[in-house]
Amino acid sequence: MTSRRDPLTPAQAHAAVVDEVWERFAAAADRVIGVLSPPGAGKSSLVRTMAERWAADGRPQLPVVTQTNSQADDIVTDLVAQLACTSHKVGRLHASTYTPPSALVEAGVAFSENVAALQGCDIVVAPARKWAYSTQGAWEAAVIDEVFQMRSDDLLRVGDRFGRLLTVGDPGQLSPFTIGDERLVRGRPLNPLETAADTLRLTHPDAPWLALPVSWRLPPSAATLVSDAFYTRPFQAGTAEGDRQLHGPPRSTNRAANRALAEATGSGWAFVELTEAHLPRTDPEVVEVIADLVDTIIGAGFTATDETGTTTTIGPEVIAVGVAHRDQRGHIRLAIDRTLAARGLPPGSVVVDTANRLQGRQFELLIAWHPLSGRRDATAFHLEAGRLCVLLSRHRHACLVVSRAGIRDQLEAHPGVEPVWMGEEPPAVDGWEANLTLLDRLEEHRVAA
Amino acid sequence: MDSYLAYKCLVAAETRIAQPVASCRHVHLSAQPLVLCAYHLAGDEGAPVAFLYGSSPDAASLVVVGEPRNRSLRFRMLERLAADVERYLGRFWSRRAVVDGRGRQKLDPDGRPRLLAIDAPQLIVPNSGTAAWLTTLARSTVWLRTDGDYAVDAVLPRFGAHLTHLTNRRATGGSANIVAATELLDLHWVTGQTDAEDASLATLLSWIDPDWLDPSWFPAGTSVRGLDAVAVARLAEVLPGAGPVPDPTWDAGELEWAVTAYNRAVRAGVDPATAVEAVSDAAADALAPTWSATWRAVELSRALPEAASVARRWELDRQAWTWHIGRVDADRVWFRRFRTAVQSARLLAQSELAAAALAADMAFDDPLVMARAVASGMAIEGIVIDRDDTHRRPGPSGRRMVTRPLIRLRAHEDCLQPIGTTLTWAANPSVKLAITDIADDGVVTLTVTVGMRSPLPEVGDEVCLATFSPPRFYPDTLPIDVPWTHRLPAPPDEDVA
Repeated sequence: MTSRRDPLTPAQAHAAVVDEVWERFAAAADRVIGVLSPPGAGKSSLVRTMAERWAADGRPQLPVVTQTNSQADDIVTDLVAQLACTSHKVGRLHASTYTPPSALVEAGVAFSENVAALQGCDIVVAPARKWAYSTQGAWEAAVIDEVFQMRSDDLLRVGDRFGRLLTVGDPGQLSPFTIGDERLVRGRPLNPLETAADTLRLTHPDAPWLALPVSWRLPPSAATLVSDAFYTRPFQAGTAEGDRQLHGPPRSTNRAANRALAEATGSGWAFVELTEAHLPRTDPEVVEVIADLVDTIIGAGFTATDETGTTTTIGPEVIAVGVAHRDQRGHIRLAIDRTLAARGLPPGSVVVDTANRLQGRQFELLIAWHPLSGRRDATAFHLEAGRLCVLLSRHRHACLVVSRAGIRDQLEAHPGVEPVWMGEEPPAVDGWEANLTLLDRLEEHRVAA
Repeated sequence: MDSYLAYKCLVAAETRIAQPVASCRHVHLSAQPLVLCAYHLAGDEGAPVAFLYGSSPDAASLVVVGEPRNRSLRFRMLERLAADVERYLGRFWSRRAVVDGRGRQKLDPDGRPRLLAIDAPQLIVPNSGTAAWLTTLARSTVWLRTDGDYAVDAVLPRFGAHLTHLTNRRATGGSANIVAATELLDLHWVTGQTDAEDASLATLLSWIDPDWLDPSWFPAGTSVRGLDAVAVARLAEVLPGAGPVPDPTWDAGELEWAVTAYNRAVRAGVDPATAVEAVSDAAADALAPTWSATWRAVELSRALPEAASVARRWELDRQAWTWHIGRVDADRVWFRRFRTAVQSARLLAQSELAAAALAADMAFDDPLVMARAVASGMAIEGIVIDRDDTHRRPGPSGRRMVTRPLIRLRAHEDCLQPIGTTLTWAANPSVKLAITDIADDGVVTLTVTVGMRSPLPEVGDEVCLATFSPPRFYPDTLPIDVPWTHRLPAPPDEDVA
């Protein structure tokens, strides 16, 4: 390693890592290759590039393992666009309950419930659970997408089908979770609740783990904060300060929503703080504040310019609201749909979802309901670094965090009550510490609601 | 805690009495359970002090160890407990052939009649802590040797094997082989106190049944009758701990005194069987309130009518017990010290399936449990205002039109689920409907997607539709061998200096 400043531009630094990943994957010297990809670092494009180069090399069929059907559909959509001018064929393996999207059927993707029927395809994409059910066949190598979302037992079900693995994922995501009794299996290495990435690190300690160095999604204001609070391998933004700008009409009134938006347009962050109170998790005032923020943004007719010089109007389809619980999602969605209806917009045009389901998605503006808002306790679920990290790393322009006051006291006063599992590696990023780091930064952007 | 439970807790605090959160009993309760209360040394899970156990409230057996730190005395005590437990388990050895609906015998894969234990054992302990400690007790006895320098009686590893089987079952949600009284009460009532206070059986029970206290546990003249639940719970706080960790004051005072007295007496030549009475008396007094409380919890729960799916879950316990006694009879009852990755994954998958099934079954069986789902938006209630059985829409292929009846529902609460969500009809879970429209006036339009031929809700019917349903069973896809991805590298050669 050299100590002088990295002379590469972000694009060159990114391309260098992509090339190194491909060289290693093509050389077949490592049984496991890992790629760490921070939010918006071009993970999908990496998977696409690897698959394309693999097919162009005339190598045998390459399976791509995703974690959900929608991830598989996204990859297939990307791949057919990329391979449109070539003779390479993409197959999508699926369960009997799945209905193929008509756009992909028309694009010439081969769909089947049976992997043998997809023999003619260069690349076959399916979720891990489906690969587990297709008991026929073995492949030289496979790509696993979102390996930090994959539970170790999902890898266990498919591991022996593939000779070697290229695994790609974002380490700052939600840890796998179970509704079963975790005490049965915790506290032993290789337990089924680890991430597949943790398992592969333990069983292949010499495997290379390369890190994509640039987030193309996050603006500099967010990349530094997210990298510092949630990642052990730092990354930078692909754009410079001022490359992306939000413009709104000047606002005369001193409403909280306007002040929050002014702060967010200026700095990329706003921390909208309501008075301290302990409330049920569907806190009606927070619902109201978030719905009002969304309505104000849509009504203001913001425009956003980015590094390519493109100007977009901030309409409902590029705004999202992220929450921790499904009942919060229900109440917010209802409140937002009402304001949308008043503007003559269709319900559901603003995405409202839990952190879990926002993983991998990207928006211009995101409004996050702080997981600890209004709570008396600070459980592992609400402290989890991954949950907060997902909520705070979906945006290209600005993120507004809405919360009850008192998070700092809550963090400092609440004793840790979660069990410590002997024999397991502690998480690389501690949720409690990440929350405090984040709060230190957010408080600079505080706006009273 | 969700809003519904928070509300019920507030009502309990306001009315100063526990509130029911279930209208029927969701746990099988055996007619002949083995209730077991126990203490171990505060600092040492491996050092039991006393067990109070029995199958009837007025026939408790007590075993104690005079010097809990003495390992041979400890195993002699455990042998006595093990013999009694084995006698209890012996009542559940009879099996009978399983017959199908037409009276024909079902066969196992080898073509022999499939057998099912007529009944299975049920251990009832005061609290979750004691239930968890039974796992430790099982692990500390199942691998004991019956030969060599520290031989124990063969009954002890057998007891360990039975206990390992029963404690493993606890991982399966809805299993009733081991029931903790606090969990039993928590499932059916909420109190106005904190979760930490609810973990104490005595205070929890006080909120539900304020008349349970026995005046003899308190100084003469203490009034224990006619008080409200909150006052009774305060009184109950001073009762000795429910175990398995005894109260520190009891430990430092009575237990230490009794053990010292035992040691002094034995050194002075007194028969250990007589000398141990000091410890027996102390333990019997300390465990008596917990013994009563555990039985009282059972009686209160027995009074509730049994939920519809309880018998089905108990049959799973009986099936597992049948498998266990089959292994015992064939002298093949072995357990691994550490599970392989495949075994862990299988166990977790079973636990997840059971947990999902239990949650759904409880809600479908019991309107009070379903109310909680309705309050959190996970289920929708309303009145059917319109039904169109002839509604047609394009089928999955997109080419043919298929009949998909349409139901319009006036929901009592705002529908928190998005369009496209699949719902299950609580009255007949084989009918599934998808939300196709939510109007401003609260009318939800639903398309029947599964179960078109079943009787559907009629106009005017009050219906409940849930976002969850009992999970479908899928065949296991776990490999037989541990794959290369889950094999740890061999540790470095230890000969290399």
